[in-house]
Amino acid sequence: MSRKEFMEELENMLENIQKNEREEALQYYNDYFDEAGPENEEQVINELGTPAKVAAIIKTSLQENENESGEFTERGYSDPRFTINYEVIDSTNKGNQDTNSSQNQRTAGRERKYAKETSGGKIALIVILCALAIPVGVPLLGGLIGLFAGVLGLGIGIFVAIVVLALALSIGGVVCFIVGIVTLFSTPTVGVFSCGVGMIMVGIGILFVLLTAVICYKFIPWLIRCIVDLFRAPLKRKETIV
Amino acid sequence: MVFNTGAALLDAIVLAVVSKEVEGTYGYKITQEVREVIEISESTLYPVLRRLQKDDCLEVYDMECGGRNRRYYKVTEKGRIQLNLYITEWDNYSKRITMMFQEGMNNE
Repeated sequence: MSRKEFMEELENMLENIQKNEREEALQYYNDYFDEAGPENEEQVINELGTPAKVAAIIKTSLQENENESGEFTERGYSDPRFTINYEVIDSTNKGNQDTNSSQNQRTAGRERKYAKETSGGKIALIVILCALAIPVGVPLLGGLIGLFAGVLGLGIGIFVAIVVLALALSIGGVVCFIVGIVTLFSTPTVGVFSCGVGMIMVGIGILFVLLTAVICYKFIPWLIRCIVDLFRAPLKRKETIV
Repeated sequence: MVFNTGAALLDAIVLAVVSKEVEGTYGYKITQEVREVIEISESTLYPVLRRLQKDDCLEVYDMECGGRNRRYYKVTEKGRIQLNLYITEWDNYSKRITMMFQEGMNNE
C-alpha cells in the first residue's frame, strides 16, 4: 500500500465524522508522512496499521470526547489501562483538589468527574436505603424507646413503692406502738395487740429500709455500670480491630 | 513492557515531550520521542494530541518549513500547569511504589 492509497482509504473511512475533525486528522497524517520523509513511507504505513484501524482509533476518541461533554460514561474504554489509570488519578487528584481547583484542567477533570460520580452514586444509594428504612425503622425505633421507657418506669415505680412502704411501715408501726402503750392502761388486751402489730410493722419497715439502702448503694451503681458498658461495647470492639 | 500506560500518563509524556521545545514541535517528532520512552502504536498519538489541543493544553500553528506548511504543537499555559500537576503526581506515585518494592526486598 502506498501513501496515496493509505490516505484515500483513510479519507473514505472517516467520511461519517464531522468535517473539521476529518480535515484535522487527514492533515495530521499527511504531515506525518511528510515529516517521516519518502524513505520511511513504507515503515510508517506498517507502523500505523491499516487505514481502518487508524480510522477506528480516531472515531473512538471522538466518541469519548462527546461523552465527556455530556454525562460521563467512559466505560466504553475497552482498554484496561484506562481503568487502572483512573484509580491512580482519582486518589492523587483528591489530595490536590484544593490546591488545583482553580486550574480546573479538563484532562484531570475528566477523571475527577468519574470519581465524583461514583461517590455521588454511593451517597444516593445510602439516601435511598435510609428512605426505604423509614417505614420499618421509625416504628421499630419508637417501639424500642417505648420499651426502654416502660422498663425504666417499672423500675422507678417499684423503687418508689419500696421507699414508701419502708417509711409508712416504720412510721405506722411507731404510731401503732405508741397508741398501744396509751390504750394498755384503759383496755390492756387491745393495747398489747396494738403494741405487737406496731412492732411487726416497724420490723417489716426496717427490712424495707434496709432494702432501700441496698438498692441505693449496690443495685443502682451496678445498673449504671451495665448501661455504660452496653453503650461502650461497640466502641470497644472497634478499638480492638484498630 | 508489562506495565500499561494510562491516558493521564500518556498525556503527561506527550506534554513533557512537547514542552522540551520552546518553539514547539511536530507530530512525527513527538511520536518518535514518545516511542523512545514507551511502547505505543503510532496511530494512538493523534487522538492524544487532538484531545490535548481541544483541552487547550496544546496549541497548534503552521510554520513554513522547506517549502511547505508544517503543523507545530506548542504547550499552552494551561498545558504547563497540567504538566506540572502530572509531574508532582508521578513523583509521589512512583516514590511510593519504589519504597514499597524496596521494603519488600529488604524483607527477603
